[in-house]
Amino acid sequence: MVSTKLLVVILVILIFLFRIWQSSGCQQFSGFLFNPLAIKINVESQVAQDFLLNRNISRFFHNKVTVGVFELTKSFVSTFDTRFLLEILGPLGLTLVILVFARIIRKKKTSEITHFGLILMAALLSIFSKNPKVSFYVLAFSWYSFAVRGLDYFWSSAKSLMILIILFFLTFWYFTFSWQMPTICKQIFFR
Amino acid sequence: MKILKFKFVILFTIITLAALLRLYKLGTNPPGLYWDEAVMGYDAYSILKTGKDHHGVTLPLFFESYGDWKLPVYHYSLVPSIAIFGLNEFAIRFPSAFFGTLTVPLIYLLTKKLFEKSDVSNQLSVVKSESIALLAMLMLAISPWHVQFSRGAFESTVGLSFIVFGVYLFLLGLEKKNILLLTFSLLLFILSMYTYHAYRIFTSLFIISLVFIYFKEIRANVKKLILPIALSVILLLPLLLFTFSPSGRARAISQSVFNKDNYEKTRVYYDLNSKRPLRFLAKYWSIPLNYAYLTLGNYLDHFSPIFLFYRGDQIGRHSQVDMGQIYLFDAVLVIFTLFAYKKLNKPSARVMLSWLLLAPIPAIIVTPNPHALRTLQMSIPLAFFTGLGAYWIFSSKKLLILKTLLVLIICYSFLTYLHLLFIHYPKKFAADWQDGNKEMVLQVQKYQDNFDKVYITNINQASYIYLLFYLKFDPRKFIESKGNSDSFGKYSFVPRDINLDNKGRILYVAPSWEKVDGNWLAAANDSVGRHIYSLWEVNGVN
Repeated sequence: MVSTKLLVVILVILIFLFRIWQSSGCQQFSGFLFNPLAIKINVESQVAQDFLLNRNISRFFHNKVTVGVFELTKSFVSTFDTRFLLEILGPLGLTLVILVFARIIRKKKTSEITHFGLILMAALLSIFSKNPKVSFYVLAFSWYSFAVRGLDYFWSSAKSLMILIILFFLTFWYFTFSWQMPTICKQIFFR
Repeated sequence: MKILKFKFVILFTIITLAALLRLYKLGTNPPGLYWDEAVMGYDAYSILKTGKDHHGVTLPLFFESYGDWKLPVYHYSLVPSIAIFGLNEFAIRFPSAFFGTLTVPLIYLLTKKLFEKSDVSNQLSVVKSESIALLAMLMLAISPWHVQFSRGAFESTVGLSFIVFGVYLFLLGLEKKNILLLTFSLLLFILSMYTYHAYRIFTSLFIISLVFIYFKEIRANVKKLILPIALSVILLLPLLLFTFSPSGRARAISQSVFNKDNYEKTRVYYDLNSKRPLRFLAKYWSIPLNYAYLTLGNYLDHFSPIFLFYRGDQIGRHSQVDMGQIYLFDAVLVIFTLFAYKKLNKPSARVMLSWLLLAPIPAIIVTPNPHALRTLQMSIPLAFFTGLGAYWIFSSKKLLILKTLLVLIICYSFLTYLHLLFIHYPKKFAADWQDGNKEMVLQVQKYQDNFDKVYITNINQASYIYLLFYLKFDPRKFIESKGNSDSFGKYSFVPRDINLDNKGRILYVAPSWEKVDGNWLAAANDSVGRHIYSLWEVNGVN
């Protein structure tokens, strides 16, 4: 059983490494860098719609404080976008992550909460990082390590192990289909 | 007694708020009238006057529209609305606003019913369900997603109210073991399928999930249910035949994500651009796996936090675009729902979770994605869960600062939404609603008496329906004279490149950007003053 577990863990790590290897073809990463200019553009374009309205009323709804919170949290939350997570983790990784979250809600294990806290930190760093490539790899590795925690669920029976193997193959195919990784990479080709 | 009175005051206030949000300025905001609304309205008007749609078909079960066939419920619900309010924008949108408002008290009843079976001590009890139901009701009343579709002639809003009422009667019927209630519930589900295309898929799947969740209770009553089920199958037969007919499949095929040509192109592209050791995989691509890949991505897009909280559906008719499908504060409430979730009794948690998870399915097989209209049914479990999250926070004896802050944020977000809805939206999205056609018809009416013929540039085959609608053209005359989208009466709908030589003296309506060899008469602008059409006097003598 120990050897099976080890084999499965290796397989899961391999599939994640496969994704990382695929990303080596990316010539330009998308990144999540928060641009403060987005606040100004948002405020100005909204205020322009209020040309007949009292300026103070318009500023009550469209000001740098509220729009700033909106834009900043938008950048932060986009690191948790479902399509982005699917492209990083694939169906297998996403399933594992959901299982870990379910356990966090049920059992509130400190180690898992701390681990998720690290992901939040990585997300926060990525919106201020000017190097999108580094941001991607930091995010990817923190999600992968988090996902591996969910493997516990699959040790209980041969049936669940079978599901894991099926998910593994589906993920392999998913990664080959989504080799362009549109949410991760702006331009990808291999020399 | 005092508590009961207070409860009714809150109930009444929320329903009034829901009605105000859905009915205020309904005729002018959204601006203009979208062509689907116009054709539905004129068909209903035609049925009211002649018993036939404007194609001359007597009491049709399926209505021909632009590029697809529409299901009948909304059309027939328009008949009394037009009889009362006349043929205008308000009347066309009224059934949607009415049923949208009605859904608000229905979610209250449903939420209460879902909690009534709590029998375990740590589960949320019946008493608490009152507050949760009121909060869920409030969340739906102010939901930007639900308000948006209640303010346009969207069949989905009407269908959704049937589903909510159907689920409520289903739970009530099971509890009271009353076959009549269960039969009504089935009828409402069927009615929803006859209302909006997406519900043919969603309602069917949701009924199956209800059967699984309440399998024991249903099995106990299975003999009594045979007759209602048989009746349902008979009622569904025309819809099934339609669904698999070429007309029924036309729209789905034209917008399907399942496209073999695209698949082949992607495979070849992969073959050419992928990394060398993996290039051989292109030979082993399979169509089912590729389709699974596409639909999985589309499915998850509907749960994207960006779509839900920051930037909704990018079609202007479907959302405010500048904000999410629901409020940003709902994200906080959803997080707190996760803590409250385990306090729910199992069946109610399963009903709402399966509702939420099944809701995006009708949208994942077609483009574009994410699509707020085809997934409007998500707004119900979202209102339920955010209501639950709100209860979790506000019933806590601690978290005073968070509670105060949240109340302020909720009030501010709601005010901002009102500002976007009533100030920005009519200006920003007039073009999305094809605004300007009413003004065009009014201008034509003003000048047409001086001309024998009126030529109107035919944009997307839609101009004729606006003429019929705003002129309130007698449907009997239209049908008897075999009018169509090319001409009726003195009106002809012509392509932009038509040669006007030797046509005599005509009134010609051209798009604003077109320069015509004739005398410029007037402009037809939309409600924000944008120039949409020009009216020209053309002598047409060579």
